[in-house]
Amino acid sequence: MNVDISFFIIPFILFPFRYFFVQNKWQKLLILVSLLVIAYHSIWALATAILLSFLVFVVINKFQKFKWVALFIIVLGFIFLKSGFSGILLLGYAYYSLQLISILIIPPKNFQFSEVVFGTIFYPRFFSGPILKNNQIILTSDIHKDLKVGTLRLVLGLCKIFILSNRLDFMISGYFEHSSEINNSLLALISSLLFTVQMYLNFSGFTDIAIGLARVLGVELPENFDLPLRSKNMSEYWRKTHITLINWFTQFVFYPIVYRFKNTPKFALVLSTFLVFILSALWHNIQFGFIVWGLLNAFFIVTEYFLKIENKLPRFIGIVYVFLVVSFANYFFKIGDFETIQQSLKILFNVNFFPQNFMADVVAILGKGGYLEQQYHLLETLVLLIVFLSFESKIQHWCKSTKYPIMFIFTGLYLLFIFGNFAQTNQFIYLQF
Amino acid sequence: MKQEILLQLQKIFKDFFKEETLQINCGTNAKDIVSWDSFHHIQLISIVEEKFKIKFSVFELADLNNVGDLVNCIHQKLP
Repeated sequence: MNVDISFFIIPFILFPFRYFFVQNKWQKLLILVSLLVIAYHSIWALATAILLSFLVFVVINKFQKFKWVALFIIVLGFIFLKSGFSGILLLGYAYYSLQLISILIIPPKNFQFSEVVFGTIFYPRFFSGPILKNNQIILTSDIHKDLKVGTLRLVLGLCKIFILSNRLDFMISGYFEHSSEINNSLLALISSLLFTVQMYLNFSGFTDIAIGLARVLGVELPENFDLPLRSKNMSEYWRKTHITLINWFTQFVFYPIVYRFKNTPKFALVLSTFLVFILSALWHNIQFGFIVWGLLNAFFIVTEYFLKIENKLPRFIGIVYVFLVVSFANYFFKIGDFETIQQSLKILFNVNFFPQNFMADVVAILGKGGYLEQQYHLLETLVLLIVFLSFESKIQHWCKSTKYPIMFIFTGLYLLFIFGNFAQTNQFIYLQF
Repeated sequence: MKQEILLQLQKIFKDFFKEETLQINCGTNAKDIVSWDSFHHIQLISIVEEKFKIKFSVFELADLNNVGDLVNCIHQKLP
């Protein structure tokens, strides 16, 4: 599923009305617009979201004794969703269901039904997060600043996806579509590393779009990424990646287990870390590759802790180590099913690392045929990627400041026009979860 | 009262993180202390519970974003 152009334009059509509406009325308008946008994508997804919001609202206000029944119903819906049976019916479910569970477990005081619905269906974050803490939405009031910062963030997200992620997708799909046939370990390594970067840019790009559009609409969404590819250990990496999901699991799975077993801290750490990552894997998909991905991440975090190497590695070595480990785990995340993983691993560990013909066996596959034009495209993508990752911290800082916003917005749009690749079909990876 | 709690926490933090020069204030958070991750957070809270003879609810732990939140929470729980 991909969102269409109305998703991006609506906030700018609505923006002028912010001058005429008080916050209460503005919130109602945002609920109405969100209802329409989601209904346009799937009326069933909207009906499910409203029904569950109503169930949770009634339970936390009148029947607290039955909160475990409501929780069970939400989890059941989740299993239904991940069994692949649901199609478009449960769109956005993986994200808003966690928010609803959080308010079932810690019921807020004086929560109106409109607030529950607003947190659940606010459309910029409905399809792929960020996950809101306590299902609560924070409204902002600086209209001019919101327009500048929001638009800038939207352009950043579009650049990440259409300039970098889509170009990388074009490169690595040559390997991943035929991973069980290609007997070239170097290519597998390069493709895995590039997939890690692509997944990050794609998801963080979509989060930037959600944060940007929400900001134009006067809503401040939480951040989901904090330069994770610069982490020097796995714990740090997971504090900076998909932050809102990990925070949710920390609050509702990790803390309760570690607190319960605090007298046996090592056991508590192993149990809670593995459980968090297995649940996180299942949250993504009930598939072999995802479980292996979860287990590998948990294993490396626990090992780091017991070997006490968390903060001892020099920064550069730490960054390289995290990048390699994360990419190794992501290899399973990308391939997914047991048989393909088995075949590709067998081939990979049975051949020489370096290919006989680098141009034919690596460059040509990454360049989809290796014609001169494609090789130039490949080189261009790598240069753009290196430039972006080198200045990412500065770019992020510029996007949050309100200095020279027009200049940055037009620079971003110009780059998008020159280097953007709009031909890919798999534009937003995290919409599928 | 809150100043007193902060002073006691200062000693607990120094002992727990084994940093003699560590200085905390209400704004200090996990980003300021490298070892203050979610696992050490629980161990730290257990020591705080023991010293102040109070109990935290497990779901309160995620809302303790900095030393100031911890001071306020302890202050509310003290008799």
